[in-house]
Amino acid sequence: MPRRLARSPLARFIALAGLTWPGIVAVVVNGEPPPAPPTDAAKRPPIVFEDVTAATGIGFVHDDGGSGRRFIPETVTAGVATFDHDLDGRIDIYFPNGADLPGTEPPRRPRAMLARNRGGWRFDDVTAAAGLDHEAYGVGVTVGDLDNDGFPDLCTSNDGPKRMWQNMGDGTFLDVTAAAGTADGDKLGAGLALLDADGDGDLDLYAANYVRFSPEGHVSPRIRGVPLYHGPRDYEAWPDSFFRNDGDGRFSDESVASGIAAVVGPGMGVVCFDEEGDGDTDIFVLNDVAANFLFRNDGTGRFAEVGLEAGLAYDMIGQPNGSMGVDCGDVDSDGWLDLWMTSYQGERPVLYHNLAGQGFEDVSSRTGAAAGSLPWVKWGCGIVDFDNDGRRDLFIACGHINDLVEQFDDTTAYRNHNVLLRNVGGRFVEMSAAAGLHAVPRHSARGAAFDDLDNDGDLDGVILNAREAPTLLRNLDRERGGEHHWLQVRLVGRDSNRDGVGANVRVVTPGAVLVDEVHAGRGYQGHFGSRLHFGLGPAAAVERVEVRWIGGGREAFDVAGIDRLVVLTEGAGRRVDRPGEVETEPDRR
Amino acid sequence: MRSAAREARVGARRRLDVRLWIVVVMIAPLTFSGCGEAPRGAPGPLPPVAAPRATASERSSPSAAAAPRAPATGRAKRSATPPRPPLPESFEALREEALALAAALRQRYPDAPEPIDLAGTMHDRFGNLTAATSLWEAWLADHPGSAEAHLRLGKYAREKGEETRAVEHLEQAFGARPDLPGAQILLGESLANVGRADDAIAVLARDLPATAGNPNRLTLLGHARLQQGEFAGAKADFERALAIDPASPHALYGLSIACGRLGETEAAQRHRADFATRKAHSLARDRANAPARLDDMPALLQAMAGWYATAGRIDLARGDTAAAERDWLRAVDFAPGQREARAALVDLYRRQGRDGEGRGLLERSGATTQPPAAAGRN
Repeated sequence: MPRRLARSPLARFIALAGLTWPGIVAVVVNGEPPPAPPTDAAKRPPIVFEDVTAATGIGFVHDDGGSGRRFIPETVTAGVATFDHDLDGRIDIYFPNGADLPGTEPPRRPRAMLARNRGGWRFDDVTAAAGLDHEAYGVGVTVGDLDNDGFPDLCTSNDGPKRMWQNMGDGTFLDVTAAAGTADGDKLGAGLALLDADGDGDLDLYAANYVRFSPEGHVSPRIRGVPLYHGPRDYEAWPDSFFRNDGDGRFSDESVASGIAAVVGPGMGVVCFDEEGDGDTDIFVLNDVAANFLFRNDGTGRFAEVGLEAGLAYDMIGQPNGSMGVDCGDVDSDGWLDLWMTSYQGERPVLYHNLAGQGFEDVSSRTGAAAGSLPWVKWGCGIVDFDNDGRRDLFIACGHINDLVEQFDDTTAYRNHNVLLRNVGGRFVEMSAAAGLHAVPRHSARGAAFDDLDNDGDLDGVILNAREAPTLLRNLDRERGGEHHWLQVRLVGRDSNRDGVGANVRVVTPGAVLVDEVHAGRGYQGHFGSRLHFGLGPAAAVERVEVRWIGGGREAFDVAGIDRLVVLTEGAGRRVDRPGEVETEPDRR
Repeated sequence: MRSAAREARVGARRRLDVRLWIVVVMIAPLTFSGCGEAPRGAPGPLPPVAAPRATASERSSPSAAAAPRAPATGRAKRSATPPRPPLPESFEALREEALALAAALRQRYPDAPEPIDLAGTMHDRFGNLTAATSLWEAWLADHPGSAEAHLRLGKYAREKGEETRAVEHLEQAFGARPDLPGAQILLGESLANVGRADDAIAVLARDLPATAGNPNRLTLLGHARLQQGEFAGAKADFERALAIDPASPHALYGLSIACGRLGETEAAQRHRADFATRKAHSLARDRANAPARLDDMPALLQAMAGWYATAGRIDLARGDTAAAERDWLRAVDFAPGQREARAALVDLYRRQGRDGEGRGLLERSGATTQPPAAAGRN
């Protein structure tokens, strides 16, 4: 795929680069979140969602393709992705879907859907026009600019060969899987992530795989006479795959050479991030009822699995979880990216606190992050600042795998409400009902994505529900007169990959430094957040934004305004050698 | 912080109840198996049924302490044990029989908490925690302050994810009866779960013996100290736990973390390697056990045997030897290897001068003089 110049309407946004360096600014960064502003939070909930699904016109209905024989792929479909596929400035939605499984009669022929956002919370089904009307059994999806042409491409994992879809820039996608060489056989796939593993300026593909399932000879197990699904421990796991981008539209399978295939587990969600602040991108892979993997990058795209050493393989007591989805973000404003992982019924979700690049610790109980979701099976997740208060909140999408579960267990349910945990500074408070989530019909959720779907400055939600229509959650923060400011950042790489995937961004305000990275693949086998979003809390200004590009240097950008999206282009900022030279920062970056 | 019971609960519900077998058969020995909670549906943490005081000679037999002494002279009258019905073939029939057993016990001993406990355990195993909770709430209404009720309600609240409520109940249980088996460890664990690690440490360290002790309590204590950043203390707790139970992976994992946080890199690596080896073995066992996870009926039959064994114990403690015998015989119907029931029957027959029946029982169940050590575990 040749590299093309971007012809994006995003040009209407000004990259505020190359402006005068603001000089030494007295900023104290002590790792503490900014104090909560005086609010009327006691009188009204600080976060409120509205279910706007019905008004969106989205006709998508998920179908796991099941015939009643209860094949394990039915339990894991599917993630969801939000991204601006046509660069019109509005975030669109891609819903993977199942496909008819053996024994499904009559055929239902479910299809994935690309829902184009035309504003005002209305979406059009452009699947067929976009060339995405396919029959693959979808489980995972991620988004990234694989050919650096400025248009986001699409990768999907399936129960079967993976697919790679090139965005042609005219609203259509072309299946380039064969040319790319990324079909990866006939595996039951899982989460996908894109990263520039070797810093060469293009995105490589990490593909988690699940278990070696075959419908041949399948016998559905039973408990108390009720049919169940098999679990991952009843099967051998597939090794995960790693494809290096050759830069010419082809990818090389370097699963073995990279060290990825040295370990095997039933993969689920994946997120890539720089876990130790050394400037390259590492890979965190969830495994279902097995030790999670942390692949530490040596900077050249060779990885060593260090999950146990880093404290990420298991939960606090050394127990493997039914790990599902994972997101990455700085929940305690210490400048280091933490991890938020969902898990199975009877297990707590795990919040892994990053110990300043020296490993992680499970702080779920200590912080209250484990509250409110124990009985549910937990899937999609997000570390998202819903109220722009400068503290990232936690979201969990919930739903059981077995539609008959209530027949043999009254502590849980197939359909559940989703869970919101608000960050109140060092602790999380479960406020799902107050935020309106209990007013939303219950579903059996899987993937979840969070983006600003109405471009009003707060982050909305999209939830893929198994066997049902999705849920679109409109965040009413701005409509309710949200008191906090915000900034969204979109990166444009020149020497590094086009969308700045893996770049570390620090937003410096008079009271805090807010940190994030650009991911391509996160949550439960999905994607969201290509535009970084920063709630500014009490700050009324941004002093500068620092970007450390993967494979490149570090730049500082001055930002003139807030409550807006800024586009920062590599090379247009002021080059700096160290982050925040004026800050007192203990880290090693 | 989680327990073996949590694992068992997960297991009881996961895909194909996948983990039921994993936990009960495989994982339970590797988790907080002694934390006071038992796997879902297994005998609960209530104290042993009160029994008449035994003589020293009776105490020499494990079951003798709970058995009323047989008449000293003459051959005991042979109990009339009516023919027993065939084993239930469906889950519904099994559940019906189980709940009938519980109802009969409650009718016979309306003032005893043990039948409530057994009924609650059954409901829990059958996936009806609401019914189990209602039983104990009713008991609590009639017996305000009942430590047993608070303990069970606390446990059930935990299973439902109502952690704060669980702590409230468990605090009441522990406050009323600090010696109530399970109360201390469950409360300590629950406090840690809700982020009150300092309170958890205070509870778990209370009356901690200077030596020995419960390894699971020590492990929980170590993890609570980890939460508090007391790494040296945590390390000491984990080392003590491992000295008692060298196979505890949770203690080993905690020790590796504590050593790492103390900068003892080599020790941390060594403990991590040991832990990883044990986990790998555990996983291999789980995989090999997949066929057994296809149907939980065999496990339910074992559970039924255990419940009948417990019923017999309750009967015996109340002096109803005939009912106890009936229950134990039924237990052996469900699981010929059910150790408690077999041992109790053999002991009962010996006391009643019916040694031949005891020998016959052992022969029928495939044993001669000693019950097989590994059979019939549930």
